[in-house]
Amino acid sequence: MKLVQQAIGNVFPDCDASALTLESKLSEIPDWDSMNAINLIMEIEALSGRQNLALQFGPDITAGELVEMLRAYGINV
Amino acid sequence: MFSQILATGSYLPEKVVKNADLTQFPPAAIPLIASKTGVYERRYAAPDQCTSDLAVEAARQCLARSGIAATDLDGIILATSSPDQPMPATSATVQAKLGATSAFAVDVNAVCTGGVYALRMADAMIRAGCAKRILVVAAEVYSRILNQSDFSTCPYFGDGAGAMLLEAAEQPTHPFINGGVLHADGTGEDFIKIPAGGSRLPFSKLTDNRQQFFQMNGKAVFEFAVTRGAEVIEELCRQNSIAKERLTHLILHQANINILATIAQRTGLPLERFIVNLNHYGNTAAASTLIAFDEMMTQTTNKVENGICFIVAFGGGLSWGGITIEMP
Repeated sequence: MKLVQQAIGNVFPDCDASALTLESKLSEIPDWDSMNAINLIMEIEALSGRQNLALQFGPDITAGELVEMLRAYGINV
Repeated sequence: MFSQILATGSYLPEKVVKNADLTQFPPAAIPLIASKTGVYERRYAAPDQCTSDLAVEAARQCLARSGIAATDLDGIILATSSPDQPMPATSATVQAKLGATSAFAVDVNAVCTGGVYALRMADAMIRAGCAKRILVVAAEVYSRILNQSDFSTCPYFGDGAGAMLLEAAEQPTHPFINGGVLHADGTGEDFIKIPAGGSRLPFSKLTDNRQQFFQMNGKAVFEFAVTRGAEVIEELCRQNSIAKERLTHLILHQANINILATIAQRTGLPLERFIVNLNHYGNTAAASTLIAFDEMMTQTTNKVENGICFIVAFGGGLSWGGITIEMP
């Protein structure tokens, strides 16, 4: 999940994105909130070259669930 | 001796930026702005306007309403965290633009608490006999220091300025300041910051372009604001032996409607007594409380009298504080 880790690392500089696993909850990332979640979506769009990703983050979403959402868009994570 | 408020003023730039105008963000995210912040639109300064220009507009309106000439000012205290430049103080530029040739000029940077800090300091100087008339101005152009690509900060803020002219009076005939409190906790310095541009990290040593822009830890700031904001209201009540029920107006820093609602709920005060304008102007940092106070004093259909008003703010530093204003 290199793209996801890179995006998270870029948006949340205090997070050791390389330590994230598929089971890691995004809500446990330092500085995570609903506004920064939008920043993460924008960063994923910038890194993947895709626009208007309709990603919905539930309160307990994991990195693995995010990976699956992106794969559904055909994005190489 | 008291500091009576001879007049107030405010200035909001002409350009209105609605949430839908923030097209750099995904359209699906735009509704989140109003629900998470309460902000529907904000003002941005014109390209040729800087902080001192906004300050001067508010100051001139205030002076015109008071009938006092700028040359009769003993001091100008300007609260800002978005100065024209790191030096000289923006208040010096304001002093020159106003022609306030007898006034000292000093900037106060307590970020969003700056307006309250400036009022408390001006009041202290007047009560100590150091000055008879001090113009307190708070002005911000946050549109120039925001990362316009950062959804966690950009939508919150707007530009604006407020002003209040204080004059020494043994027996006030105008609304007057009757106490206040100031606090700080520097261990929270990382929660609200612009990392670069000073001696710690000069612009020439940037390692990340984002270091030059405003940054905020939203969750931590929310908890800080609702806790300290409610505490200050209780503290001001104790300081002046005021029962909360006697408070007629609460002017809190216009940070976020959810912060105001939470403070109202925690203090048991009806939200209707809280002045709210952040829906139109966003968070104007140090200027927010002075703008709101000016609007309360000049735009209400019923004259505000026989009331007690608290001005309460919380912001970077971390800093927080409040002022009691009695309205005879």
